[in-house]
Amino acid sequence: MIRLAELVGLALDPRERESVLGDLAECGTSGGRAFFEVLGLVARRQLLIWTDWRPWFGLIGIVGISGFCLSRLFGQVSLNIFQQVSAWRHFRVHYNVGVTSFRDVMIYVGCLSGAIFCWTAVNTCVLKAFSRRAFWLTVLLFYVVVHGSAMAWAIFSGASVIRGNPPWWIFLTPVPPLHPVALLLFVLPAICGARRRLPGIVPLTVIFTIAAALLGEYHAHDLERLSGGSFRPAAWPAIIAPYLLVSWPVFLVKGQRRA
Amino acid sequence: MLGEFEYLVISAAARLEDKAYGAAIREEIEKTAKRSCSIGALYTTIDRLESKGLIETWMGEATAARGGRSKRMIRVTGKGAREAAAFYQAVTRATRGLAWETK
Repeated sequence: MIRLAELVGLALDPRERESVLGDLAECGTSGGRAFFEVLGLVARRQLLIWTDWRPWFGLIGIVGISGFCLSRLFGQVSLNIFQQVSAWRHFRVHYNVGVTSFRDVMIYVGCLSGAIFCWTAVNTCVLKAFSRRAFWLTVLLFYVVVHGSAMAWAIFSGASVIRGNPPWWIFLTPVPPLHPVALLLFVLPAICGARRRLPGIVPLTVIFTIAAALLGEYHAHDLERLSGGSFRPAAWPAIIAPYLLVSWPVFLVKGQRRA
Repeated sequence: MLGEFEYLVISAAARLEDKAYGAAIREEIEKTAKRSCSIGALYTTIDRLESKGLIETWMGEATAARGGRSKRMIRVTGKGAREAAAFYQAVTRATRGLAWETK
Protein backbone atom coordinates (compact mmCIF):
# COMPACT_ATOMS: atom_id res chain seq x y z
CA MET A 1 0.00 0.00 0.00
CA ILE A 2 2.95 2.37 0.64
CA ARG A 3 3.89 1.74 -3.00
CA LEU A 4 0.36 2.78 -3.90
CA ALA A 5 0.89 6.02 -1.94
CA GLU A 6 4.09 6.61 -3.94
CA LEU A 7 2.18 5.94 -7.14
CA VAL A 8 -0.56 8.44 -6.24
CA GLY A 9 2.19 10.86 -5.18
CA LEU A 10 3.36 11.03 -8.82
CA ALA A 11 0.51 13.50 -9.36
CA LEU A 12 2.29 15.94 -7.01
CA ASP A 13 5.22 18.25 -7.75
CA PRO A 14 8.56 16.45 -7.22
CA ARG A 15 9.50 18.71 -4.26
CA GLU A 16 6.16 18.25 -2.57
CA ARG A 17 6.17 14.50 -3.19
CA GLU A 18 9.59 14.25 -1.60
CA SER A 19 8.59 16.09 1.56
CA VAL A 20 5.14 14.48 1.93
CA LEU A 21 6.36 10.89 1.51
CA GLY A 22 9.28 11.67 3.83
CA ASP A 23 6.90 13.06 6.48
CA LEU A 24 4.69 9.97 6.24
CA ALA A 25 7.71 7.67 6.54
CA GLU A 26 9.03 9.62 9.53
CA CYS A 27 5.65 9.45 11.31
CA GLY A 28 5.48 5.71 10.61
CA THR A 29 2.09 6.13 8.94
CA SER A 30 0.75 2.75 7.85
CA GLY A 31 0.38 1.86 4.17
CA GLY A 32 -3.40 2.24 3.94
CA ARG A 33 -3.48 5.53 5.84
CA ALA A 34 -0.50 6.86 3.88
CA PHE A 35 -2.36 6.12 0.65
CA PHE A 36 -5.46 8.03 1.75
CA GLU A 37 -3.38 10.92 3.13
CA VAL A 38 -1.59 11.37 -0.22
CA LEU A 39 -4.85 10.85 -2.12
CA GLY A 40 -6.45 13.58 -0.02
CA LEU A 41 -3.63 16.00 -0.85
CA VAL A 42 -3.81 15.16 -4.56
CA ALA A 43 -7.59 15.72 -4.52
CA ARG A 44 -7.15 19.10 -2.81
CA ARG A 45 -4.46 20.10 -5.32
CA GLN A 46 -6.67 19.12 -8.26
CA LEU A 47 -9.62 21.08 -6.83
CA LEU A 48 -7.39 24.13 -6.33
CA ILE A 49 -6.24 23.95 -9.96
CA TRP A 50 -9.83 24.32 -11.13
CA THR A 51 -10.35 27.57 -9.20
CA ASP A 52 -8.28 29.26 -11.95
CA TRP A 53 -9.78 30.17 -15.36
CA ARG A 54 -6.97 28.68 -17.46
CA PRO A 55 -7.76 24.95 -17.05
CA TRP A 56 -11.38 25.82 -17.90
CA PHE A 57 -10.18 27.41 -21.14
CA GLY A 58 -8.34 24.17 -21.91
CA LEU A 59 -11.35 22.04 -20.99
CA ILE A 60 -14.03 24.05 -22.78
CA GLY A 61 -11.96 25.47 -25.66
CA ILE A 62 -9.57 22.68 -26.58
CA VAL A 63 -11.31 19.55 -25.23
CA GLY A 64 -14.87 20.71 -25.90
CA ILE A 65 -14.89 22.91 -28.99
CA SER A 66 -11.73 21.85 -30.83
CA GLY A 67 -12.03 18.19 -29.72
CA PHE A 68 -15.56 17.97 -31.04
CA CYS A 69 -14.59 19.54 -34.41
CA LEU A 70 -11.52 17.29 -34.68
CA SER A 71 -13.61 14.20 -33.93
CA ARG A 72 -15.64 14.87 -37.08
CA LEU A 73 -12.47 15.07 -39.20
CA PHE A 74 -11.10 12.03 -37.41
CA GLY A 75 -14.25 10.05 -38.18
CA GLN A 76 -14.09 11.03 -41.85
CA VAL A 77 -10.44 10.06 -42.26
CA SER A 78 -11.04 6.76 -40.40
CA LEU A 79 -13.98 5.98 -42.70
CA ASN A 80 -12.02 6.76 -45.88
CA ILE A 81 -9.00 4.73 -44.79
CA PHE A 82 -11.29 1.87 -43.76
CA GLN A 83 -13.05 1.90 -47.17
CA GLN A 84 -9.79 1.92 -49.13
CA VAL A 85 -8.09 -0.75 -47.00
CA SER A 86 -11.17 -3.03 -47.06
CA ALA A 87 -11.64 -2.69 -50.83
CA TRP A 88 -7.97 -3.40 -51.47
CA ARG A 89 -7.79 -6.32 -49.04
CA HIS A 90 -10.90 -8.10 -50.31
CA PHE A 91 -11.04 -7.19 -54.02
CA ARG A 92 -7.60 -5.69 -54.83
CA VAL A 93 -9.27 -2.51 -56.11
CA HIS A 94 -9.49 1.11 -54.96
CA TYR A 95 -12.75 2.06 -53.33
CA ASN A 96 -14.50 4.33 -55.81
CA VAL A 97 -18.15 5.28 -55.91
CA GLY A 98 -17.86 6.68 -59.41
CA VAL A 99 -18.16 10.33 -58.42
CA THR A 100 -14.77 10.85 -56.80
CA SER A 101 -11.55 9.62 -58.37
CA PHE A 102 -8.97 7.75 -56.30
CA ARG A 103 -6.56 10.68 -56.71
CA ASP A 104 -9.15 13.08 -55.25
CA VAL A 105 -9.79 10.71 -52.37
CA MET A 106 -6.06 10.61 -51.62
CA ILE A 107 -5.83 14.44 -51.68
CA TYR A 108 -8.87 14.57 -49.42
CA VAL A 109 -7.47 12.01 -46.94
CA GLY A 110 -4.03 13.63 -47.09
CA CYS A 111 -5.38 17.10 -46.31
CA LEU A 112 -7.56 15.72 -43.52
CA SER A 113 -4.74 13.68 -41.99
CA GLY A 114 -2.34 16.62 -42.17
CA ALA A 115 -4.91 18.96 -40.66
CA ILE A 116 -5.67 16.53 -37.81
CA PHE A 117 -1.95 15.98 -37.14
CA CYS A 118 -1.17 19.69 -37.09
CA TRP A 119 -4.21 20.79 -35.08
CA THR A 120 -3.62 18.03 -32.52
CA ALA A 121 -0.02 19.21 -32.04
CA VAL A 122 -1.05 22.87 -31.75
CA ASN A 123 -4.01 22.14 -29.48
CA THR A 124 -1.97 19.92 -27.15
CA CYS A 125 0.65 22.65 -26.85
CA VAL A 126 -2.02 25.20 -25.89
CA LEU A 127 -3.66 22.64 -23.58
CA LYS A 128 -0.38 22.06 -21.74
CA ALA A 129 0.27 25.79 -21.38
CA PHE A 130 -3.19 26.47 -19.98
CA SER A 131 -4.02 23.30 -18.02
CA ARG A 132 -0.61 23.06 -16.31
CA ARG A 133 -1.02 20.51 -13.48
CA ALA A 134 -4.36 19.34 -14.87
CA PHE A 135 -2.66 18.53 -18.20
CA TRP A 136 -2.78 14.73 -17.88
CA LEU A 137 -6.47 14.77 -17.04
CA THR A 138 -7.40 17.21 -19.81
CA VAL A 139 -5.26 15.53 -22.50
CA LEU A 140 -6.91 12.20 -21.65
CA LEU A 141 -10.32 13.86 -22.00
CA PHE A 142 -9.15 15.40 -25.30
CA TYR A 143 -8.30 11.90 -26.57
CA VAL A 144 -11.63 10.53 -25.33
CA VAL A 145 -13.58 13.31 -27.08
CA VAL A 146 -11.61 13.16 -30.36
CA HIS A 147 -11.22 9.43 -30.71
CA GLY A 148 -14.24 8.30 -28.68
CA SER A 149 -16.82 10.29 -30.58
CA ALA A 150 -15.06 9.54 -33.89
CA MET A 151 -15.23 5.83 -33.04
CA ALA A 152 -18.93 6.11 -32.19
CA TRP A 153 -19.43 8.02 -35.45
CA ALA A 154 -17.58 5.29 -37.38
CA ILE A 155 -19.60 2.51 -35.73
CA PHE A 156 -22.92 4.14 -36.51
CA SER A 157 -21.88 4.92 -40.10
CA GLY A 158 -21.01 1.29 -40.71
CA ALA A 159 -17.24 1.70 -40.88
CA SER A 160 -16.90 -0.05 -37.56
CA VAL A 161 -14.08 -2.46 -36.79
CA ILE A 162 -16.51 -4.26 -34.49
CA ARG A 163 -18.28 -7.01 -36.38
CA GLY A 164 -22.05 -7.31 -36.06
CA ASN A 165 -23.98 -5.18 -33.60
CA PRO A 166 -21.64 -3.38 -31.21
CA PRO A 167 -22.16 -4.38 -27.58
CA TRP A 168 -23.80 -1.63 -25.50
CA TRP A 169 -20.85 -1.40 -23.11
CA ILE A 170 -18.51 -0.20 -25.87
CA PHE A 171 -20.06 3.28 -25.49
CA LEU A 172 -19.46 3.26 -21.74
CA THR A 173 -15.74 2.42 -22.04
CA PRO A 174 -14.02 5.30 -20.23
CA VAL A 175 -11.01 5.40 -22.56
CA PRO A 176 -11.39 4.23 -26.18
CA PRO A 177 -8.85 1.59 -27.23
CA LEU A 178 -5.78 2.77 -29.13
CA HIS A 179 -6.27 2.31 -32.86
CA PRO A 180 -3.35 2.55 -35.36
CA VAL A 181 -4.98 5.58 -37.00
CA ALA A 182 -5.38 7.20 -33.59
CA LEU A 183 -1.76 6.44 -32.77
CA LEU A 184 -0.47 8.14 -35.94
CA LEU A 185 -2.87 11.05 -36.09
CA PHE A 186 -3.41 11.81 -32.42
CA VAL A 187 -0.86 10.33 -30.01
CA LEU A 188 2.29 11.25 -31.97
CA PRO A 189 1.35 14.90 -32.60
CA ALA A 190 0.05 15.13 -29.02
CA ILE A 191 3.52 14.15 -27.77
CA CYS A 192 5.11 16.71 -30.13
CA GLY A 193 2.66 19.37 -28.92
CA ALA A 194 3.36 18.59 -25.27
CA ARG A 195 7.10 18.95 -26.02
CA ARG A 196 6.21 22.28 -27.69
CA ARG A 197 7.74 21.56 -31.08
CA LEU A 198 8.10 18.83 -33.65
CA PRO A 199 11.45 17.32 -32.68
CA GLY A 200 14.19 19.31 -34.39
CA ILE A 201 12.01 20.38 -37.30
CA VAL A 202 9.47 23.17 -37.16
CA PRO A 203 8.08 25.50 -34.46
CA LEU A 204 4.40 25.15 -33.66
CA THR A 205 3.54 28.60 -35.01
CA VAL A 206 4.48 27.31 -38.47
CA ILE A 207 2.47 24.14 -37.80
CA PHE A 208 -0.47 26.38 -36.87
CA THR A 209 -0.30 28.09 -40.27
CA ILE A 210 0.04 24.77 -42.11
CA ALA A 211 -2.92 23.39 -40.15
CA ALA A 212 -5.10 26.34 -41.12
CA ALA A 213 -4.07 26.04 -44.79
CA LEU A 214 -4.70 22.27 -44.86
CA LEU A 215 -8.11 22.65 -43.28
CA GLY A 216 -9.00 25.35 -45.80
CA GLU A 217 -7.76 23.16 -48.64
CA TYR A 218 -9.67 20.14 -47.29
CA HIS A 219 -12.82 22.19 -46.98
CA ALA A 220 -12.46 23.64 -50.48
CA HIS A 221 -11.88 20.15 -51.84
CA ASP A 222 -14.75 18.67 -49.83
CA LEU A 223 -17.24 21.34 -50.90
CA GLU A 224 -16.11 21.13 -54.50
CA ARG A 225 -16.58 17.36 -54.44
CA LEU A 226 -19.95 17.40 -52.69
CA SER A 227 -21.39 20.31 -54.66
CA GLY A 228 -20.25 19.03 -58.06
CA GLY A 229 -18.00 22.04 -58.65
CA SER A 230 -20.20 24.85 -57.38
CA PHE A 231 -17.70 25.95 -54.75
CA ARG A 232 -18.84 28.31 -51.98
CA PRO A 233 -15.72 30.00 -50.63
CA ALA A 234 -17.61 32.12 -48.08
CA ALA A 235 -18.35 29.09 -45.91
CA TRP A 236 -14.86 27.93 -45.02
CA PRO A 237 -14.10 30.61 -42.38
CA ALA A 238 -17.00 29.22 -40.37
CA ILE A 239 -15.37 25.79 -40.44
CA ILE A 240 -11.94 27.06 -39.48
CA ALA A 241 -13.11 29.62 -36.88
CA PRO A 242 -13.48 27.23 -33.88
CA TYR A 243 -9.88 26.03 -34.33
CA LEU A 244 -8.48 29.54 -34.68
CA LEU A 245 -10.54 30.75 -31.74
CA VAL A 246 -8.99 28.29 -29.27
CA SER A 247 -5.55 27.71 -30.82
CA TRP A 248 -4.19 31.23 -31.36
CA PRO A 249 -2.55 31.31 -27.87
CA VAL A 250 0.09 28.99 -29.33
CA PHE A 251 1.77 32.24 -30.49
CA LEU A 252 2.08 33.27 -26.83
CA VAL A 253 3.52 29.98 -25.58
CA LYS A 254 7.11 30.46 -24.49
CA GLY A 255 9.72 28.02 -25.67
CA GLN A 256 8.09 26.93 -28.89
CA ARG A 257 10.65 28.99 -30.77
CA ARG A 258 13.51 27.35 -28.87
CA ALA A 259 16.38 26.45 -31.18
CA MET B 1 -6.99 38.17 8.64
CA LEU B 2 -5.72 34.64 9.26
CA GLY B 3 -7.97 31.61 9.43
CA GLU B 4 -7.99 29.39 12.50
CA PHE B 5 -5.91 26.60 10.94
CA GLU B 6 -3.49 29.09 9.40
CA TYR B 7 -2.94 30.53 12.88
CA LEU B 8 -2.25 27.04 14.28
CA VAL B 9 0.32 26.35 11.54
CA ILE B 10 2.11 29.69 12.06
CA SER B 11 2.12 29.22 15.84
CA ALA B 12 3.53 25.68 15.54
CA ALA B 13 6.20 26.86 13.07
CA ALA B 14 7.17 29.75 15.34
CA ARG B 15 7.38 27.46 18.39
CA LEU B 16 9.55 24.89 16.54
CA GLU B 17 11.86 27.63 15.22
CA ASP B 18 14.62 26.07 13.08
CA LYS B 19 13.14 22.57 13.46
CA ALA B 20 9.88 23.48 11.74
CA TYR B 21 8.93 21.17 8.86
CA GLY B 22 5.83 19.23 7.79
CA ALA B 23 5.88 16.22 10.15
CA ALA B 24 7.03 18.26 13.17
CA ILE B 25 4.35 20.93 12.63
CA ARG B 26 1.70 18.26 12.24
CA GLU B 27 2.75 16.63 15.51
CA GLU B 28 2.83 20.01 17.28
CA ILE B 29 -0.68 20.90 16.11
CA GLU B 30 -2.06 17.51 17.16
CA LYS B 31 -0.39 17.88 20.60
CA THR B 32 -1.32 21.49 21.36
CA ALA B 33 -4.71 21.86 19.65
CA LYS B 34 -5.75 18.25 20.36
CA ARG B 35 -7.14 17.83 16.86
CA SER B 36 -6.14 15.66 13.96
CA CYS B 37 -4.26 17.28 11.10
CA SER B 38 -4.25 15.73 7.63
CA ILE B 39 -1.28 16.06 5.30
CA GLY B 40 -3.60 17.50 2.65
CA ALA B 41 -4.85 20.30 4.90
CA LEU B 42 -1.35 21.03 6.19
CA TYR B 43 0.41 21.28 2.83
CA THR B 44 -2.31 23.30 1.10
CA THR B 45 -2.26 25.70 4.07
CA ILE B 46 1.54 25.94 3.93
CA ASP B 47 1.33 26.83 0.23
CA ARG B 48 -1.33 29.45 0.89
CA LEU B 49 0.67 31.04 3.71
CA GLU B 50 3.79 31.08 1.52
CA SER B 51 1.91 32.74 -1.35
CA LYS B 52 0.71 35.42 1.12
CA GLY B 53 4.31 35.98 2.22
CA LEU B 54 3.60 34.89 5.82
CA ILE B 55 6.11 32.02 5.82
CA GLU B 56 9.18 30.98 3.81
CA THR B 57 9.98 27.40 2.83
CA TRP B 58 13.05 25.63 1.47
CA MET B 59 14.18 22.04 1.08
CA GLY B 60 16.23 20.77 4.01
CA GLU B 61 18.39 17.72 4.54
CA ALA B 62 17.35 14.11 3.96
CA THR B 63 17.49 11.61 6.83
CA ALA B 64 17.41 7.82 7.02
CA ALA B 65 14.24 7.97 9.18
CA ARG B 66 12.51 9.63 6.24
CA GLY B 67 13.61 6.99 3.76
CA GLY B 68 16.30 9.32 2.42
CA ARG B 69 13.79 12.02 1.54
CA SER B 70 14.26 15.76 2.15
CA LYS B 71 12.29 17.92 4.59
CA ARG B 72 10.43 21.05 3.57
CA MET B 73 11.66 23.51 6.18
CA ILE B 74 9.46 26.43 7.24
CA ARG B 75 10.24 29.83 8.75
CA VAL B 76 7.70 32.48 9.84
CA THR B 77 8.36 35.88 8.24
CA GLY B 78 7.98 39.24 10.00
CA LYS B 79 4.70 39.78 8.21
CA GLY B 80 3.53 36.32 9.34
CA ALA B 81 4.37 37.11 12.97
CA ARG B 82 2.44 40.40 12.78
CA GLU B 83 -0.59 38.69 11.23
CA ALA B 84 -0.54 35.98 13.92
CA ALA B 85 -0.30 38.63 16.67
CA ALA B 86 -3.24 40.53 15.15
CA PHE B 87 -5.30 37.31 15.03
CA TYR B 88 -4.47 36.48 18.65
CA GLN B 89 -5.38 40.00 19.82
CA ALA B 90 -8.66 39.91 17.92
CA VAL B 91 -9.60 36.54 19.44
CA THR B 92 -8.58 37.78 22.92
CA ARG B 93 -10.69 40.93 22.56
CA ALA B 94 -13.63 38.97 21.21
CA THR B 95 -13.44 36.53 24.13
CA ARG B 96 -13.04 39.09 26.93
CA GLY B 97 -15.85 38.87 29.50
CA LEU B 98 -17.36 35.72 28.08
CA ALA B 99 -18.23 32.71 30.21
CA TRP B 100 -15.57 30.44 28.69
CA GLU B 101 -12.72 32.96 28.95
CA THR B 102 -11.13 31.49 32.09
CA LYS B 103 -11.91 27.83 31.45
